Amino acid sequence: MTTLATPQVATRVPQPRTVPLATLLAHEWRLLVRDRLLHVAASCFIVVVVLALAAGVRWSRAQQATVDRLRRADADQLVAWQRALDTIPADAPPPEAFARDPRSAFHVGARVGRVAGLDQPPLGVLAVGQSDLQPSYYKVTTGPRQAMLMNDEIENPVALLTGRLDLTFVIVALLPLLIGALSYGMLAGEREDGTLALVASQPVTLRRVLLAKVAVRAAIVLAVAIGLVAIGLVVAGAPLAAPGVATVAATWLLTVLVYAAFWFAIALLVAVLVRGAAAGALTLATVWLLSVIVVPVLVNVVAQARHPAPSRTALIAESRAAAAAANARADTLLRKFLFDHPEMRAGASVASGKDFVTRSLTVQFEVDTAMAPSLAAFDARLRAQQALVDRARLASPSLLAQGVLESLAGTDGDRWRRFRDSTIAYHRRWRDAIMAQAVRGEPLTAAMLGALPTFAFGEAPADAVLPRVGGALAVLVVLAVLAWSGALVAIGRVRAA
Amino acid sequence: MLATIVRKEFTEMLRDGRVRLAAVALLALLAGALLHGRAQTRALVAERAAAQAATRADWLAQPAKNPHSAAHYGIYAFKPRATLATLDDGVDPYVGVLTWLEAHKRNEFAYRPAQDATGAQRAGALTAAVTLQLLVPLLIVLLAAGAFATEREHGTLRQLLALGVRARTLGAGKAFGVAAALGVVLVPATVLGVAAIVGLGGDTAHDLPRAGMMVVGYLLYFAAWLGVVLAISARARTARVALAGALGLWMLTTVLAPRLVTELARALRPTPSAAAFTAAIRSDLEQGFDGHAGQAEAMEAFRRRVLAQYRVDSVSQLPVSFAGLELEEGERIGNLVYDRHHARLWDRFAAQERVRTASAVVAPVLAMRALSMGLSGTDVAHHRAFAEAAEGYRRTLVTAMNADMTRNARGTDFDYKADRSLWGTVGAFDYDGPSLGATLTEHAGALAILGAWAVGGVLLLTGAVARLRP
Amino acid sequence: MLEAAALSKSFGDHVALHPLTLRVAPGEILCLLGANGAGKTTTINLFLDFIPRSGGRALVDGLDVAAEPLETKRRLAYIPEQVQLYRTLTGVENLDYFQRLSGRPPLDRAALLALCDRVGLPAGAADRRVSTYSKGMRQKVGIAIAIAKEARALLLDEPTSGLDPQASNEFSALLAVLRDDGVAILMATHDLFRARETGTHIAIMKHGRMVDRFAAADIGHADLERLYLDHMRN
Ligand SMILES: Nc1ncnc2c1ncn2[C@@H]1O[C@H](COP(=O)(O)OP(=O)(O)OP(=O)(O)O)[C@@H](O)[C@H]1O
Ligand SMILES: [Mg+2]
Repeated sequence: MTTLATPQVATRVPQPRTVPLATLLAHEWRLLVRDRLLHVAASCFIVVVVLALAAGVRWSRAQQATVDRLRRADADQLVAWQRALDTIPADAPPPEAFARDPRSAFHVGARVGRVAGLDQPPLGVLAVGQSDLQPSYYKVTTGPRQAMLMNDEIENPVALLTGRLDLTFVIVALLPLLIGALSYGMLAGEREDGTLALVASQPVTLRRVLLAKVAVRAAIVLAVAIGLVAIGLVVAGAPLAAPGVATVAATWLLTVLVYAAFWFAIALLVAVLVRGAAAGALTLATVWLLSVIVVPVLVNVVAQARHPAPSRTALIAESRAAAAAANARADTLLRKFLFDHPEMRAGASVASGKDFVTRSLTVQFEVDTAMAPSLAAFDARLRAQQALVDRARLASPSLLAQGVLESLAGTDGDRWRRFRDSTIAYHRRWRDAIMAQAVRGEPLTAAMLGALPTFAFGEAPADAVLPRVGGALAVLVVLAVLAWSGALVAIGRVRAA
Repeated sequence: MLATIVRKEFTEMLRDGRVRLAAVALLALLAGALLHGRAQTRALVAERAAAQAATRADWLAQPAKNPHSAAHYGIYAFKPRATLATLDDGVDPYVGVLTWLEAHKRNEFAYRPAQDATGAQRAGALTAAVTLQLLVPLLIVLLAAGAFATEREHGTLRQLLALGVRARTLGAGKAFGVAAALGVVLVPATVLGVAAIVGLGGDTAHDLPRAGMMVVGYLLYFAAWLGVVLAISARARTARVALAGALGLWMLTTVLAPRLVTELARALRPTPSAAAFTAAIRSDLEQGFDGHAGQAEAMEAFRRRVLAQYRVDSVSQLPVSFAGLELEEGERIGNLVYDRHHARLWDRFAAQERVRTASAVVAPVLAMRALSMGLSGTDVAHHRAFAEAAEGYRRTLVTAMNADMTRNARGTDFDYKADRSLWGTVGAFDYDGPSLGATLTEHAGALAILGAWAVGGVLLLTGAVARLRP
Repeated sequence: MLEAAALSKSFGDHVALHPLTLRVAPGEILCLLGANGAGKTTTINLFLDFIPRSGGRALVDGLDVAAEPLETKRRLAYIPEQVQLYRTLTGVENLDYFQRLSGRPPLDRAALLALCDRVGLPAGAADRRVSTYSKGMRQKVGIAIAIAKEARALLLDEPTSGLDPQASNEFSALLAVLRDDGVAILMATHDLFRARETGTHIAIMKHGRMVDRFAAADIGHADLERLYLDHMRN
């Protein structure tokens, strides 16, 4: 009986200075594994990550399939036309202006037109972002620009209101919840259960014990959030081998890491500063609520109040007035157009302005020109609003992370705006080309059809996005570092009692 | 006894600094949401009314011209802002604000306000409805999660039960105590809300009954939450277990479930792409559908039919303008196609809604949201009603133009110019939304599920209290 | 060896412990007696550096507990009034964990089971989860943890609270063995009988002051009770 309890007062047994970290980690791991909460929370989270990834893949593929189908239809149409044109004898009578005839510039250019499509970004599966609100294709005809841009993708508005279950939502909104669920009782739970007293009576600092707790939780959370997503990207067939894509994907995961680090620091701060597990859970829930819901909503309200989106209804009234004015001046406009484009005057049998097609094209041209300043001013207002929100993102780490994650995924709207701008440019080229044909009044030939402008989106290199998110990511890193510094300072002051 | 318990619970809660802070913050948010909503309603009502008047004036101011040109000139329909959208703007930011009504074509609604907003919009709007649906349950969790569990942890529950206090009385006392504390926030909020609505000077006979039904709906919703959270508290070993459970339930059912269910609805009842939708319409128009002939063939058959009807050999011998008749026939065939496809699309949305409403069995917020949007006049059904009304008006207008042409453009067809007085013969577009009865029928499922949740919450609570252990 | 030198503690205005000086030498058991709220737990908490002291010093083996919290804890073992363990772990797993935390070489399973058996944990209980334990069973695991640490000083806060008489008796015997091995033991207790039986010295505390201190051998049981009550009355 005395074998175990014979302290040798005289000879000091050399003892290890500190408890091996492995002991603490193994113990913490065992506690978590035996905890039903971990099983529930982690398995929910894993299921949601898989579902979100699947939803992202589904969405991305469906979008791409639609654009591909439209492009194929365009290509097929062109081939069919060219084949038809080959069979029409050169001396056949010219088509009527409105005929469904590939020789008619009106039919080809105004009625059928071409599709301008946006390919899915390589990492689009990571975030639906704004891509459910922003159409990924436009039908380009000689019609007014505004009419072209009015065409939206169909979606149940309730789905738009609810938002999508994509990985970015899972990371931004749910990951902090998982971290909170695993961490809220880290310290206070042990204090309330009474085990903390026994732990604290041992030669180990609470700082070390707490850091071990965080380390085990972080390992679990990151294995799920980063490991699972990385595996998912490979399984989903994201083109990681394409130049720059792997770097962007790695930055995406790095952002997740930084964001998770921030929330672990908050969890640690709350564990140290808030007595009582229930109070800690409430505090964490409040911080989450502020960061994920309340602050973004308030930012939105402030942005709307400071830079209200100009009225679309007013814009409509304005464009109607412009159309009326242009209509009234149609003949003058057409004459001016021919004066400006002497090369077209030669074959212009329609210079009288009687030809409806030419006339209406001229009028539309004028409307677009007249509306350009208003539309530019409109876009400028929206950009000012966006700039305000970009600054206000600092108020919420969640908004900040969401912005970075969506930018990296390519669905934040920036890439879309470039697509829209190149569609507008293409619309202009298309209209000019068709207009030239219509004014000349010659029937289109297969060669002319082949020479009509085609749409090409000048896709930026995949990693061109990195400098754009650099600032926000740096701010996120600074926030995480600050939170960790605070937590590490506070952690020194914890007491067992 | 009951009164004593209620008073003690109430006092205890009001003395808790956290509760006071949360209540003040919530009240401030609610007031802010109401002010914001009211300002928006003011601005939008004025803007849309002005735009509607302007487009009507444009229509009337047309010079003498061919009626078909006038039909092509067309008119815009602007979606009116419902007064109750002040409380819940529902899908309004996500549906187009206007549609162009013109000859031949049923246009989609254009300009979703959310497209002109920043990405921050997607985090949610600041409306009274969102505050009530998301944050009040959270306040209930704060107030009620500890109700039994804290007393159990501190051992006072043991003492109370030893004193012979009946568990049922205790349960009722706690429930009413929390309800009284909630009332401190909700009663002023309701007064503010009613004042905001009445102050907007809309049609109060239309708005107030709906607002009253909304109050009923929200009371059911809160009762459900109160019952469930108290039941969790009555079963939990410690306050922190109760709180974690209740918070977890909140997160799962109000944060995660709506998105999860929406993905489910999309997967079960996919939404067609706009490209596929318009292609299907074009194909039906050109190639015909369901035994209807394609356009060219149908118009040729129509010509023969007309000639036979008037017993003449050529259209030039007709006593009316054949162009007018042809245009109207074109409209008729077009409308069949548009009706078919739009009805299919709306039904698809309705089917998605049914998936969402059915899921309210596990996530009551879905039923509450649907009911709240419906009563506010900002749900998909209201949008559909407006879209159908606008389309009906388009048909009235185009048919009137075609009829005038048929009557008066014999021989001149498209060179005929109608007198300016023709424009005024078509009345202004006037729209009345669905009745309260129709809205309640539409959302009967949601209302039933909310009621079931409220009853279920109370049953859960009585069950948990009946087996109350110290 | 435990030593308090003018050790004091205040909570705000309230003085929980007036400057206290005491010494527990190796092989001594000092039993702290005193009414509820007299300052016994406070004294023990100060030796554990669980709460910051307001004045004076607490030394373990000559080391200041505030200056060297870890080194002093290596020499201490502690049994709280309510031993609380990880509910999802078994008794042996708890014992193993705390043994590892104490910085001593880990024990093998046989040794851990032997310890459980030695403190009187019912056979078979050692491998059950602690959530199924009674209060006394948890207390016994707490005692096993303290013994396994082979500490030079023991801080006991009503360690036998909730133990059945037999277990209580065996615990006293165990303390006697440790005392004979040269361990310094400070024990807060309300059990006058055991204090006199096991303790080498007895101290009486009242309102945060040590009002009396004497050797246990010098007093009979009846005298001790009278003395204690006298102190409490005036
Ligand atoms: N955290 C604290 N804050 C304020 N006062 C405290 C705190 N802890 C203890 N006290 C006060 O210090 C005094 C001594 O308390 P202590 O716990 O040491 O008594 P005790 O002798 O162990 O009593 P018991 O026999 O009931 O265990 C009491 O008056 C108590 O109210
Ligand atoms: Mg005590």
